Amino acid sequence: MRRLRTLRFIISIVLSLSTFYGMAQRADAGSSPHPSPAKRVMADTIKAPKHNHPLYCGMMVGVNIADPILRLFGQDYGGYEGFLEVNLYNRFFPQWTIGVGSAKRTTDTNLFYETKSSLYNRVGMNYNFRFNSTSNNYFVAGLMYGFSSYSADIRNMSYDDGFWPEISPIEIPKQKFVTHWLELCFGIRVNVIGNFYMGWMVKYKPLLKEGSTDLANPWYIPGYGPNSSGFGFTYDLMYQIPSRKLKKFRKSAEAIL
Amino acid sequence: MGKVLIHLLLLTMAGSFLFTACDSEGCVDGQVSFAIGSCSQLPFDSLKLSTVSVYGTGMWSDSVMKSSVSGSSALEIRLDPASEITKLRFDFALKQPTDTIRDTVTFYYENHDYFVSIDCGCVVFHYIDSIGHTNNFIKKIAITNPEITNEKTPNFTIYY
Repeated sequence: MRRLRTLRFIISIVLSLSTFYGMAQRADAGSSPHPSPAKRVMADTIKAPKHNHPLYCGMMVGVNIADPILRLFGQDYGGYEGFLEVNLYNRFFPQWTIGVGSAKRTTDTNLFYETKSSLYNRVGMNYNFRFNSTSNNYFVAGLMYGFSSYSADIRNMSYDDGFWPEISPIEIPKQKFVTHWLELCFGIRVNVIGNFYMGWMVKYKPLLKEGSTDLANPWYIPGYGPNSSGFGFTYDLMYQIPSRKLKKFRKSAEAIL
Repeated sequence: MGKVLIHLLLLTMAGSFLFTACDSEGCVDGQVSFAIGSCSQLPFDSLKLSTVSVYGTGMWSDSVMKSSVSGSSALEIRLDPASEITKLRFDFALKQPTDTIRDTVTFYYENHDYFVSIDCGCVVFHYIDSIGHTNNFIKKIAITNPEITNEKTPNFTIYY
């Protein structure tokens, strides 16, 4: 790991130096072979370009496998989702996620709650903090906006206030909810082999609009999870479709080494 | 690379347990809806109220809903969730002169069921249409908020 880090450091230094050198060459073109000290200082202080990667670096498609795995271990809610992401400057990753979520739970008191498969969407952007690195691993943070329109059936409830006789069953069917939320997330992505990546994201999810009806609060929100959670976790498998420009850029970076 | 993957897997497992553990928080919301009332003395009345007891009527006539709360305390009244009329007996114990005066209060309301959460289940909320009463001790009853929920907000005031 230490060797790898040293290598990355050397690459970034070499790239930075080559950029400075190139710019300094252009700045000095047409001037005398022996620039004055003032000009030399100017050349040294010229800023590096904002992005050293091309604008379009490719696309990433991915699926979240955390929920399907947890469902195998008995979790009674969850979703199946995939996302499409565009890599801009290796720094900005606008993302669109689409998924289907559902839930079915019977509690100890025989309360039955069901959300049938419903679509949800998330749009937003991730930011790669290692954008200047030529490495294929990313440390990202992002902001997403999610929304879902869904319905729930709640059956077999009872009510006992401790004084009057208990009443049951109480049924509240076909409650339609529309929920909006934000996701503040961070995580890592590691290049496993070829263009395949694995990564996880931890998410803080404040609700913008819960979408409660006059008769119910939603318990499970597709794409968000249980209403009370506020936090989330995804584990993603991804495939990167690199652009030609990115391939060229990486080849030239390797050549410099 | 192998080390990185091991870290990833460990974090995944830890994360899964963490977020699964966060899922169930137990019932923290109120599970019962109360009509919250208070007693208030009209300016020209000289009676001194000590305690108020509330009893069910009809087949619940022997059951004490709220026994002997101080006259200045809030009254928590439970309305029959299976009916739209609840008749209750209020016993007002006085300090001066020492006596107990009895009134019957009838609540007319609508019910609606509300699913609070998976842990708390359902609560029956009420909407008060009107409150009738006898006039032995009570002079009037004012409805301050007709919506009776599991949030403890004042709903009516009894003036004597």
